[in-house]
Parts: sequence; structure tokens; C-alpha cells
Amino acid sequence: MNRNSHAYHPIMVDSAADNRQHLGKGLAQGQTMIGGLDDLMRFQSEALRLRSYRQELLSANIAHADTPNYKVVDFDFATALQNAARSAAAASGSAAAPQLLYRMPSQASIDGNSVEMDAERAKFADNTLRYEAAMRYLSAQIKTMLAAIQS
Amino acid sequence: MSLLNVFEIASSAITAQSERLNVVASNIANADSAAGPDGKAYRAKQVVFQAVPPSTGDGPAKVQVAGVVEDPSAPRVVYDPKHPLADAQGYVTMPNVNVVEEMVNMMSASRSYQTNVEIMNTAKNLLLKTLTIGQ
Repeated sequence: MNRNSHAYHPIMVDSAADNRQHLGKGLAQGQTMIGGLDDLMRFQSEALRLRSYRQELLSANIAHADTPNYKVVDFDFATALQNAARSAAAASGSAAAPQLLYRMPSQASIDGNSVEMDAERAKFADNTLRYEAAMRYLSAQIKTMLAAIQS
Repeated sequence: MSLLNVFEIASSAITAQSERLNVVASNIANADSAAGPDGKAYRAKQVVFQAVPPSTGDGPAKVQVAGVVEDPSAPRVVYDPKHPLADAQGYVTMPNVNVVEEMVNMMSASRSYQTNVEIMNTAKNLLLKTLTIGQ
């Protein structure tokens, strides 16, 4: 007979069913794969989120260099990242905002302003660099995964 | 997106500093204005900055000019009997502008302005680099 009759052979139908099962398995694996990618990038994306928030706080501190009674606000990055990683591991999804603290000035000023421009500028530059580092790291992770997908 | 807020904060500071620069310019320009619109000597003006917390509770605050206040210090009195505004004893009341103080004020405002421009540039660079993640 011709090839068409072979195509409708019961064995081929069975193998088609096998294919479908295989597809189903692939889909299930794909879902865990997406979860894996999410987990892979979560830490660095949390770090980036906190770095950008700290960048915002430090820029506000510098903007208020001449505002009377302004108190310098910052947060402890290490603690905040640990908390964020913990809440991400608990799969709660939304990470809590870091606890804001006032920085003690090393030299108090008479108008109650606690901004020390040199210290804030140094912290700002440091935070910029660390933001870029986290960005590079995330970028490299994505490149690694892309290489794994494409090879 | 936190980094976009940096632009708002830095631009509020730039606006406030430019207003301060305006007031300094007014003070220096009128350092010898013996008669203002009210017939009295010009009085030095100073801006007062204020932190405006965001509407969503705590977090980084923007800068705002709370108001422009007049310097309460006593006016400068100069002995010049030939001056048309001199009093019976020959003294003229001149503005209480301290030009040296105003120059320092101007330098401080200009430095703060520059710093905030730099911060906006840094935030812009970071955002542009963030857009290239994974490329």
C-alpha cells in the first residue's frame, strides 16, 4: 500500500500518543525551568532593587544639603538584602521595604542639618559602582543561561 | 522604579538652588540701593529650604523653598551729607546686604546645583545601562 495507510497504522497512533505524553512532560519540565530561571535571577534583582532605592535615598540626602533640620536617612544594605532574600525564599513574593535609619553626623551643624557632603558623595559613588556590579553580574547570569539554551 | 524618583528629587533641589541664586543676585545687585519702592533702603533677602515628604508616607523627600525671608540685621548707616536721602545729621541708611556673605552664598548654591546635575547624570547612566541587561 502507499505511505498514507502506514500513517494511519495503529502503531503510529500509539507513537503519536507517546509523543503527546512526551510533550506534556516537556511542558511540565519547562514550567519548573521558568521557576528555576526566576530563582536564579531573584537574588541579583533584589540586590538591584535595593541598590536603586538606596541610590534614591542618597540623592535625596545630597539634595537636602542646605535644608535646615534635615536628617540624613539611609539603610543597612546587608541586613535589607538578607531580609529580602529570606522573604523571597519564603515565596511571599512582595519583599518588605528596608528599615530606614538616621545617620549620626561626625560633625554636627548649627542649623540641625546632618548632611555631610563628602561622606554622602562617597557613599553615592560607592552605591553607583555596586549597582553596576550587580547589573553586570545579572547580565552575566543571563548570558550563561542563553549559552546553555543555544548550545 | 526608584531610579526615576532620583530625577524628581534632584530636579527639585536644582529648582530650589536656582531660586536661591536668584535671591543672591537680587541682594548683590541691590547692595547700594538706598531707596526701594517703599522709599526705604533695600533689605537683604534669604531663602529657607524645606523637605517635602512624599504623599506615600516615609521615604526620600523633595526640596522646596518654604519662603523668602528678610534679613533682620540692622541697616548699614553711612555718613554722606551730600546724599539726597541723608537725614538732618547727614547719615544715609543703606541696605543691610553683606556682599562677602552673598558671594559665599552664591558659591554654595552653584556647587549644590552642580552636584545635583551630576546626580541626575549618574542616574541617567545607570538607567541606560540597566536597559542593556542581558544584551
